[in-house]
Amino acid sequence: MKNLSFNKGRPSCLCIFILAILLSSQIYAAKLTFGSYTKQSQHQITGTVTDATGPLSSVTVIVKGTTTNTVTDEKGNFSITANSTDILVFSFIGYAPREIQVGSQTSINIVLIEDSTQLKEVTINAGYYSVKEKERTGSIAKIKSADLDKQPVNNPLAAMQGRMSGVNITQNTGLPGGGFNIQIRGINSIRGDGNDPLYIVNGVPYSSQSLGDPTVSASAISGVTNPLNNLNPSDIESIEVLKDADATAIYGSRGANGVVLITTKKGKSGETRFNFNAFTTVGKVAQKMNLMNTSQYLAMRAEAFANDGITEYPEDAYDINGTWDSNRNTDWQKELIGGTSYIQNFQASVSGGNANTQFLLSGTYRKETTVFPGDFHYGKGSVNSNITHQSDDKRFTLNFSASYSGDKNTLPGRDLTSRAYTLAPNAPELYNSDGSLNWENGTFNNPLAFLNGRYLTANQNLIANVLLSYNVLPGLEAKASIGYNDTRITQNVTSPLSIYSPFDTNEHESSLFVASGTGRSYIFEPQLNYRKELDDIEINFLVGTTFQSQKTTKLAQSAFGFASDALINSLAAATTVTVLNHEVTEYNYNALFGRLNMNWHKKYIVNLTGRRDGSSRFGPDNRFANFGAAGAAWLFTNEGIFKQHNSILSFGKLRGSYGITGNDQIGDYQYLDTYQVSPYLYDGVVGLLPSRLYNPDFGWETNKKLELALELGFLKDNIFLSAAWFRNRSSNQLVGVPLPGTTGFSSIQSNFDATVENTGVEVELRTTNVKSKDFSWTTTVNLTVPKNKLVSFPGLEGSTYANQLIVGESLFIKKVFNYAGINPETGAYTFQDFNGDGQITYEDDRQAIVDTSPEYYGGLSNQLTYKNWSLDFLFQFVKQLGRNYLYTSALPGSFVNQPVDMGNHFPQDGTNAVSQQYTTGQNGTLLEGHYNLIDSNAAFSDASFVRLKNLTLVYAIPSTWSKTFTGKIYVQGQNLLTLTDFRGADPENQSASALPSLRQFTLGIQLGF
Amino acid sequence: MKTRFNIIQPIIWTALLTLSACESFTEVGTPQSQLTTPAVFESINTADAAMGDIYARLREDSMVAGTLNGLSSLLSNYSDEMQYTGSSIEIMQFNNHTITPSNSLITGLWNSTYSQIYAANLMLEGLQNSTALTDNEKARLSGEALFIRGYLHFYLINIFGDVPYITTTDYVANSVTSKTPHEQVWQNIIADLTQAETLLPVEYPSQEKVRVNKAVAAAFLARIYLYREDWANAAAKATAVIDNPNYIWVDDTSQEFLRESTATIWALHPGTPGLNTKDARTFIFSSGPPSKPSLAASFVTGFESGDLRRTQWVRTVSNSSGSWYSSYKYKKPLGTASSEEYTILFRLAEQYLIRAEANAHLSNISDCQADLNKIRNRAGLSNTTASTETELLEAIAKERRFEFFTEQGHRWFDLKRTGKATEVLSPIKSGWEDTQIILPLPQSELLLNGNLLPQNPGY
Repeated sequence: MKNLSFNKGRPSCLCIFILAILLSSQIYAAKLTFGSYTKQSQHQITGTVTDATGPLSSVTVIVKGTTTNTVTDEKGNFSITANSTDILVFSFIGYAPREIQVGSQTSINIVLIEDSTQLKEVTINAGYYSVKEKERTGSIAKIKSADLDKQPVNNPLAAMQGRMSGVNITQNTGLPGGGFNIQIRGINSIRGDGNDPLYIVNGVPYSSQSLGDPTVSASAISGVTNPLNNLNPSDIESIEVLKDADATAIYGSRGANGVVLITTKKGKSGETRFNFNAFTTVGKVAQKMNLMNTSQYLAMRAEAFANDGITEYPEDAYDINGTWDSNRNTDWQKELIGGTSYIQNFQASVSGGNANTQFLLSGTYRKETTVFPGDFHYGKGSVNSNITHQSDDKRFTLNFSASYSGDKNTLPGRDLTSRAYTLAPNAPELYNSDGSLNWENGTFNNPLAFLNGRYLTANQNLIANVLLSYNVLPGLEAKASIGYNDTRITQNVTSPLSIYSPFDTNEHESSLFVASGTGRSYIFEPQLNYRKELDDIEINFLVGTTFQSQKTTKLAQSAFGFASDALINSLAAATTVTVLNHEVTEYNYNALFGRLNMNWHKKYIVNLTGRRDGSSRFGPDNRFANFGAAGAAWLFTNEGIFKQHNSILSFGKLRGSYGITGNDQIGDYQYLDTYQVSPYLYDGVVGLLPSRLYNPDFGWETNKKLELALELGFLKDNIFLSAAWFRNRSSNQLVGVPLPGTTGFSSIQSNFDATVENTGVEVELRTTNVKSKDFSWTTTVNLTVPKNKLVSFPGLEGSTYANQLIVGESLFIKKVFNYAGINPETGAYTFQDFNGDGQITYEDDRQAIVDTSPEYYGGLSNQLTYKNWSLDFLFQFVKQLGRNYLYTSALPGSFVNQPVDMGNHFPQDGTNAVSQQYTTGQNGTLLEGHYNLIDSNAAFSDASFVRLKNLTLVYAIPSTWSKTFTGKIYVQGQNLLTLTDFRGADPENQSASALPSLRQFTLGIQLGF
Repeated sequence: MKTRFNIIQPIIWTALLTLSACESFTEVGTPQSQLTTPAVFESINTADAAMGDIYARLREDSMVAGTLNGLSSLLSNYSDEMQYTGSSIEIMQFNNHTITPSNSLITGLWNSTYSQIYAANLMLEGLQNSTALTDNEKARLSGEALFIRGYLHFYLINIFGDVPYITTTDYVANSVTSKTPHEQVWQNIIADLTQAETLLPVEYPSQEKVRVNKAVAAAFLARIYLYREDWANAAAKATAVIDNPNYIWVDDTSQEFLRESTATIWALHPGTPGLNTKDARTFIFSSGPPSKPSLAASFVTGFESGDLRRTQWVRTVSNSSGSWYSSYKYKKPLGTASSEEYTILFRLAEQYLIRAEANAHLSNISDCQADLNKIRNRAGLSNTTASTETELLEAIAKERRFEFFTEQGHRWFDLKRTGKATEVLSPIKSGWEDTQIILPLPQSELLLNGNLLPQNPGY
């Protein structure tokens, strides 16, 4: 072995793989020599496992001290071969395990008793390994399929809202296929785009960045699409979020912002089962703006003209000069975004298998329409498959899973929401009597014309993973995980001439924007896992390496000058086609990782994890870096003193961790000195332009995480409380260090000695309030109190961040004018003159600070079951400051509708009125007051809310007539109720242009047999 | 025990090997859409593409670009040519003379210009290190890069006053650079242009007149000498261009701004075939009050009656609330089957007026009148009646005003160099101060590089 020579380069990487295989077989051979299985009188044992209510399926039956095992089928039956001296162990989550001496029995029927301390047996997926919930040293939050299934959502992130502490998720738009913002324990990087968590789906890293082009999707869905839309929530078994150093350090350079592990469903052994699930959802916009009606609006307009001294209304003031009917009153929110969205979702699955091999195949189809008038819809189809196999001797296991999904989103080229908020209430009819769009002789820019422009996005995504594992020796397992991900997106936005008024004399061109992206990545992770139980200590040791490679291509093109709108989807029909962007990037990543877990008597647990990462995103001298963490837990209730006394304290654990993780979300090739292909042509030649000022030496961003937590169970864990305090300090910030323009660039990518700190407290409380045969009630609460702070930023004053950040404040702050009421003389908004120069200037007087970081957030859920009925509801709450309608509203008095609140105005309502004196825009002082208000603290106000996020009522269809039948009928409500003082539409997206989230009602049925 | 030893050993081996052997896995080479800087200068095609992009950026986002943020728009607002009824507070600051050092348009002008200068310097350094290009190729590309460097600094010094003259790509040095003395900047510009004129070929490096050659350098030198009040040299360079048989006077105002115009000395290629000028997109509007800058009524009424430029280069849009005038030199905002108009940066008319002005100062009255009349006659106007030096200078200034409006800030620079800015602007711009003869240095720049302090007076 030592004689092998290893060249640098790919061949040697291959060598390692081959070596690993050789080693495995060598060890196997060794084992055959040394090992000895005593062949005694083996015989077949059969039996049935039941609980208080009937047969229990999927109970694990294991011959103690061996790997021989099986599971019970749907009817609780099992069959296993064992010796008379053997002991059979029956275990099942939520039940106390039982051990039975085999002796001469050939039939064993046992009853398992439910264990109220069930939490303790729950295992948690920590990525490369799994841990028992009670023995974990790290901070990991989990939601299960049961919680995901309760919500008719398209994106798993939506189902996570309000259910996990330390995880703050906001939805950008109520439109299907839109984006989400997720922050796990705050934001760590000053760069806005470096704060995504790492997503791992069945062991395969999943890109958090859309391959689409943001300029293409911006006006349609208020941002970019979220790649997680391609995952089907109902195919997901569990989502684990890794938060602290102990849990994330094994992900090294990609763990700084947390890790989201998504595991899809697997088949279960037993008779082949068929499951069908179908639901229909109707949805409407949940929050509306309270806008002026025609009489309020026209009164405002008339007053504005009067204030400006205009007695004869101008020709283009159609709303008030008599051109438009002043008696018309239209609720444009109702007309434009007041429709009903329908969702239809069908899923069918088949699963089954025997003790050795299990399979699952499921398919889902979903169709979702919008609240806009017209035929717009989102469709998604997905297939999920899984096969697990175990060899007869249980030493070899294989797990294969593959999911494929495709979606297609057809939306208007522009979200109509902002038009619904701003259109004058007496604007004319949308349609003429003949059904054509009404332009009111050119005085009306009919908003429905936007519907002629289309936003079309199609995604396809394939994730496949094989996990092979072989028990080389008792306790030693060799594993290899091989994964592949292929994702594609095509986007297409059309702006035909028909989106413009035929009366519009400006010259317009029809245009088409086309973007596409493909990403392909594979990952190969060979691992060795060694487990040894000694007298005092149980040791788990893991070592593995990662090879990951990802290739991404993106192409964006614009096309103008179509002979006819009918040809607008054809690039070939355009007179001008410009390639806006074409990039092909490659990212390679290599790592060595390990874990050593030592467990003394289930009392003291130490968990050491580490990773050495190499990434092609860094220059040759900084390509590798080390990350690691130490975690420890003390299960003090396992100390003798607690065990002896029948204390009300049933479980107690103190745990803590400290470690370093990193962040490599900096884009590719940033260290290279290159010219790149320019987006511009000149004289028939595509240009080359200098890419950047290059810095070959920049290195990894590091995030040092510290956590202390206490977990307590009272009264047999019927009350379970966990509280954690964390402090994450992110330093060596990789930012574009600002440079003066004379260098030719505004910044150079470099490590910067700035530190961002996120601290916080997370509390989770779960209580079992009632538990009886027919009725049970559990309550779960989670609360997070985060604090974000910029600890240091040398040279902040001279940097481009000078107007954005303040040392000692959070990264979420804005520097704004300090609103100081209305000037009784001018009637205009006034602001504090900080430097006392008698002028309000943008540079000097924006000294007030508003902080939009959440003060606290969380969720409260209750689960009640009575006989065949169960009721679940979840309240989500956030306490925060947000941008209100003043931030986006137009000049009060101009040709734009306003919130009713703006009717409270100067001079009628005094100097503390909501609105300054109305003006049509002729009054410069008022105009300036309006613009400054947008940049003032008056445009920020309480955006806290409590939302009844989800309510589910399920009726389980009695199945006494059949042993295999299961059935459920359910109704669900989503975003049913929102309590908020927010001045605006939706306190969640706080937007005046993006559709608020929808209130949805669902009726569904699930059948299994 | 023996068994366990055997297990641990391979684990350690695997670990060590991974650490040592797989470094190359994380090497990805250069991306397919990028080339290392030395590689660019190993082939004339890629070096030409790099040069081509410098021109493209002049067109897209530079001081001479025909965009809303270029000088054609901003300085026309700053002088007496245009009014502004749009909503951009920052353009309004130009129109009202209330520009603040944090105006992002100021920062944009500064940053984009130095970015283009960086590209020119990188070009010059790359050419110096190149072994693959021929001497002729190197001379031509160096000439073009030097021309661009001088050309951009010319605008910088005229707009911002004393500025750093940047001749290296070393960002460490450039980030702490200080102002180059005024006179030195001019000497550097003249030196770069003189060298460029020597290096550049007589023929255009392009099919059309969209890259610079010897004659463009001469035309620019004529302008530089005019600004420097070096009348003899200005007249000599202008004459060299006027006498150059490649340029033929176009005696029809409606033909002047067309792609084929023979009077064009240097124009910017619109890029994609079928596109026309940014200028047309920036200035043409069809309804009022326009959101775009429009020609001031006082400017439009200043045309002599019968001036063809009034009818052919200005378009009027009226409704019941008033009339507005768009600059209509370029008439094609949209794409056409093949491009019909290019943004022209140097044209023969300017050379005539440079020579006329130089000759007025040199007291060559009749030569001066002849050149001036060349311009007037084409516009359908009679010969000038001016005959003394003062009268002629006044007539030339007026002619320049109506000939070069909305072209890269000619009017503003004329007011500035002839000392007429206060006289002309103080009555019509309420915010006018004498110190506004130069614009403020960008606030962000001063914060990042204290060596550029102090700020220009008055800001």
